[in-house]
Formats: sequence, C-alpha cells, structure tokens
Amino acid sequence: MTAAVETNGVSTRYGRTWALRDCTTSLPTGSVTALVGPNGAGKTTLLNLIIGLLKPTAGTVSVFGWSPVQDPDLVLARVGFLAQDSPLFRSFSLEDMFRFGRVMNRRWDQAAAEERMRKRGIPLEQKVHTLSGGQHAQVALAMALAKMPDLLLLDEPLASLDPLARSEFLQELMESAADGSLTVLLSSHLIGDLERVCDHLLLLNRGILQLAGETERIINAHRVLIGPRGQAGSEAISGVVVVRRLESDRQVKLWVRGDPGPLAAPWQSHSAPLEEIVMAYMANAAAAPALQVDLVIAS
Amino acid sequence: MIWLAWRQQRLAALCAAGGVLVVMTSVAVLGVETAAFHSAVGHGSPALSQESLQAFWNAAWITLLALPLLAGLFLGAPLIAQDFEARTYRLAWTQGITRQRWVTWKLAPPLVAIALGTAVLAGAIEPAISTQWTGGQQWSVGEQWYWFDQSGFALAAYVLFAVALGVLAGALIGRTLLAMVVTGIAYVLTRAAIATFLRPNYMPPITAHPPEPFGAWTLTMGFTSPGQPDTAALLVYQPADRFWTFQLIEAAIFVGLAIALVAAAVVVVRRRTA
Repeated sequence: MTAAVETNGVSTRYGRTWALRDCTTSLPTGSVTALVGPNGAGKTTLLNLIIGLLKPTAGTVSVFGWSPVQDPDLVLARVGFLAQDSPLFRSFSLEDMFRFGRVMNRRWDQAAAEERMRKRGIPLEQKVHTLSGGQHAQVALAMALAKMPDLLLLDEPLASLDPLARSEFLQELMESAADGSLTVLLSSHLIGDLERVCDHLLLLNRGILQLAGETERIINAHRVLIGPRGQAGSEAISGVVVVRRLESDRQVKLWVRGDPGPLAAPWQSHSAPLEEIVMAYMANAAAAPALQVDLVIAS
Repeated sequence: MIWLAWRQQRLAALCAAGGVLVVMTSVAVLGVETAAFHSAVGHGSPALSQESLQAFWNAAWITLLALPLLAGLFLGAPLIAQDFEARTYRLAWTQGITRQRWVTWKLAPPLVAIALGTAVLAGAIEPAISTQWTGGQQWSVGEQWYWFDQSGFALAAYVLFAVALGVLAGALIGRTLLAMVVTGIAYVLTRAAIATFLRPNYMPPITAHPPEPFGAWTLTMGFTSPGQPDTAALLVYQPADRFWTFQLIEAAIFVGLAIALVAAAVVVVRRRTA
C-alpha cells in the first residue's frame, strides 16, 4: 500500500506553545483512520496541516506526493475537508451550497449530492440555517463527498450530533468508503463511536503522537494485568512498558505494552479493548517519554 | 465565480445601488432647482428660496463627504471579515481552488462594480453641483474649491480608497465590527492629513495683492511686513483653473493607496493561517 498522507518530523507552534511536535506518520491509501486525543491534543492542527490551512513550523507534509504549501491546487483538488462545526453559508439554500461547490471545484458530482439529500428527505430549497444539527452535518458531508475526493478529512464530525444522527452519519461515510479507494481520516475526542468504522488509529496527546498503526495490531500489542495490591508481584513483571496503573482497595490494574510472558499465580492477563487502551494513554498524559514512539508505522 | 460574489454580496450591492440612485436623483433635482432659481432672479419667483437651496446643498455636501466612508464601512469592511467571522473561510479555502483565486474573485467583482458605480455618480452630479457658481452672482467666491471633496475624480477615488481600507482591515482583524471602527478612524485621519498637509502644495501657490481672483482657493491672507507702516495686504492662493489638475493629483494619490491596500489584503489572505 502506498501512503495517501505522509508527515515527516512535523511541528507546529502557536506563539510559544507547541501544538504538534515532531510528528512522523503515514496513512495508507484506502485506510480509515481515527485521529483521537483529548481536547487540545493537536488533532485540528494536524488536519489543517494536511489540507494546507496551516503551514508547519518544521517538517514536511505530503499528500499523494504533493506539498499542501507548495502545490495547494493539486492537493485541494483531491482532498475533501469537513472543518470543525461543518461551516456552511447560513443564508444559502442547499441549491446555492451545491452551486458553490460546483463553481469552486473542477470535479463535482452534483447528482450524487442531490441524491444524498433526496435520500435524507432534505429539500434542496431549504436554507442552511433552518437545518437540524444532523441534517447540517449530512449536507456538509455531501459537499465534501461531491468533490469526489481521494482523501477525506473530517474534524470532529460527530461532536454535535445525537446518537441517531451519529450512526446515520457514520453509515453514510462507510458506504462512501466501502470500495476502498477513499482514504479517510476523522478526528474525535472519543474512540467509542469510531472503533466500529476504523481500521487505523492515530493517538495524539499534548501535541505528541503516542500511538499510530492498525487497530488490530495495537490491540494485540497491549495487555491488561490484574493482581493483588501491595504484593511484590508487580515489580517482578518485566519486558513491558506500563502505560497506566490504576489501584483500587485490593487490586492493581496495569495497562501494559509488550508481552510479560507467563505470570505468577494471582496475576491475570487479558487483552484490552481499543477504547481502554486509548483511555490508558490519554490518562497517562505525556508523563512517560518512552511511549512517544510510533508503535506501528504503517508501510 | 461571479455568481458567488453576487450571491454573498447581493444585499449590500442592492442597498448601495439604491443609495447611489437616491443621492444622484436628489442632487440632480437640486441642480435643476438651482438653475431655475438663477434664471428666475429678476423675473418672477423661484420654487425654492435661496435659504432652502442653501440648506439642501449643505445636506448634500455632508452626504457626499460621508459617502466614501459609508462605502468603506458597509461594503469594504465586511467583504472578507464576514468569512472569517462566520468561520466559512475554512469551507471556501478547502474547495478545489487556491486562496489566491478565491480572494481575486471575492474582491474583483465588487471593486469593479463600486468603481463603475462611483464614476457614474460623480459624473452625474458634477453638472448639478456646478450650478451653484456658474449660474450667477448669488454665491460666494470659492464655491468650487469648497466642493473639492465632493467632486469628480476625488470623490470616486475616496470611495475606492475607503473600500480598500475596509477590505484590508477586515482581512487583518477578521471581525466586521472592529474592522469598521478601524476603517473609520484610518479613513478620517488619512483624508484629513492629506487635505491639510499635501493638497495645498500640489502646485506652488501664487502670492499676490488683493483682490482675490474669482474662484480662487485662498490659503493665507497676510501682510508684506507685519507691524510696519508701509505694509500691503498679501494673498497666497491656488487659482480656479487649477481645480481639475488638483482633482487628478488627489485622485491619483488615493487610487494609488487603494491599489496598495488591496494588494496588501491579498497577501494577508494568502499568508493567513487557520
């Protein structure tokens, strides 16, 4: 698989704060990647760098081999972008919105956009400011997809949607990505909604990329260890990196990366769901520098 | 692409066109009435008294003085600021065209329309304004210079300058209301500075003894050697026949500034980061 997006040592600074530090990763063509991390982790910054709304302070970004800074026209033509809060022109009707898309893009699938609206029962004469949150997101998605993009970037598309609208939105997205030619990168501060639809994961925390790779391999690389509290056992566990340690009255729960091998009697080891692994990294903040390596660079 | 400019600006465009039409008609009617007043002097009574005409011309004077500023505030400042304020620039800049093209198509249609509109307005009201001094003896000397800011090339250039100022302020600040405030202050200061310090010296003024020639713009009145018994009164002035030369110089300065401001706005948009 060739990479749709490659970042190489990308850093971005706003004034004195680093929004993104030394981010090196790649998105394989046709992958659906969840970009997760707490608020302020640098998710929007990374997406803006890929579409060229931002220029990196250091490092390079390449989209299908082109630089969003040097060749914006080549990148913009192939990338669909859904910004945070899905901005649309409030006073425009949907007809106007689609006409806007038509004049602003060389590739534009008007029929597909209208068909999506028909399927959702949203009349084209309706004004943007009268749409419900779910409809608004659907229109914005239809706009991004009508560009017939090879790469689709979505910044927190689910944030303002109720559960039904979320599932409809993801449904629509999955149908579009089904044939495998579309690469998707979508951000969220929660992994829960995305786990079902994503095959890759990027985890950002305080501007640092902590995890990157196929979700399956990430799950396989982590274990949860549970043992009695206060007993010397936990120190004996070797060959792993402890991502998070949680102590209750009687128990110690460790989320670890690596394989501890066979464990002494009271200790149990089992695999962790992706959501727990992500939570473990988020809770850890940027405390452990050892975790700052890319676990699996997709190649 | 022109469609987009029209779709986003049509309310402002219609209001501006309406305003221009009202001003144009009012001044034209005032011109006709003034001409009628002059020809009626001595034979019959005119429809409007001299006092009413003066009051109307004063209103027209203030309206035309404020017109460029209004254009800058309500047409210029929101032009780019509205897309920043509504955060729709993230939509516009991520479609299939570059920012450079977007900003070109965003600015060119309204700027061309405004330039044409003001040229028509300035040309149309000029004959009406000049009825004040060409008609007869009732009006004070120097009227034409008094209407310098409301006349011809300068008026059109002020409008372009004010709009360009609004565009740049909007692009830099990204908030319409604040951009309007900054535009207003910068416009008034620039206009006042150039009118006070530069305009009197576009050409070397003439120094002569009174009486003042008809239609001259008197800069200073003084005496050859103040306090001495053999003093003679002296005038420093710009003669009437320099009016249109001065108009062209003033217009060139403000059109030049407008071009520089628009170019700066384009650079600001190109360099702006999300």
